[in-house]
Amino acid sequence: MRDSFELPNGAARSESLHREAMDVLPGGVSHNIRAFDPHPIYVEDTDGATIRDADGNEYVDFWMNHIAGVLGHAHPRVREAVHEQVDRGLHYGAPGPTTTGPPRLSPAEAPSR
Amino acid sequence: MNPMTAAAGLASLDVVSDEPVYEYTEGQAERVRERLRATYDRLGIDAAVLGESSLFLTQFAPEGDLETVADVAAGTDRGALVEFHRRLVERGFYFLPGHMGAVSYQTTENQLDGFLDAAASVARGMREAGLA
Repeated sequence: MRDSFELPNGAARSESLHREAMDVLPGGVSHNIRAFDPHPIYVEDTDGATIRDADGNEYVDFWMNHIAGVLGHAHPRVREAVHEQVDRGLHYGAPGPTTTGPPRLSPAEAPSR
Repeated sequence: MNPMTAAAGLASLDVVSDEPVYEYTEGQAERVRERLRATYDRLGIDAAVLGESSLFLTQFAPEGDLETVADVAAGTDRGALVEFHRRLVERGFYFLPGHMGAVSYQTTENQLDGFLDAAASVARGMREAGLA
């Protein structure tokens, strides 16, 4: 087992962030599946199917949000909807127009396989 | 319902309703699985390619049918898989080492072709090093 990743821009920032995380989180991670040797790679940006880590290395992402991100990262239509919601408020502490949207969907209505 | 997550969820459902999300991701993942199998056959590497829908995963040195998590844990070379993914990460293809990969709607055919070339190169290197 090698003790570091050989990446185009190195992994110094990911290593540093992981040392900090080890002080405040068990194993340095908030989800056990994300712990791996020599250290997790810290992601700070995405574009479509690509992620960029804290050292500026770019990757095609096949882990894709725990293999659940079928649309890829920040699909433009999703991003636009979230931006519109941000402009109207982050949380109301009260029911809103979208309150019953997702729960109302029956399995037959939800487009999935 | 949190309005932020509801907005994201409802917009996501609109996209999969309006656009050929599953046709694309499932078709491309099937292509990936077939190409990986052909690569391992050509290189003489003992490996199984698992997965369905948009998912794919290589298991090295499979013993028997891999039907359950226990089968995979007991009957495959997990160390080889972790090393395979680690080498792919170093070539710009991110996997959580040892775990399934997924094709997304925004993953391009060029990106997949690049991955398939890299996977063949990594598999060849591991075979030559006696790791696969």
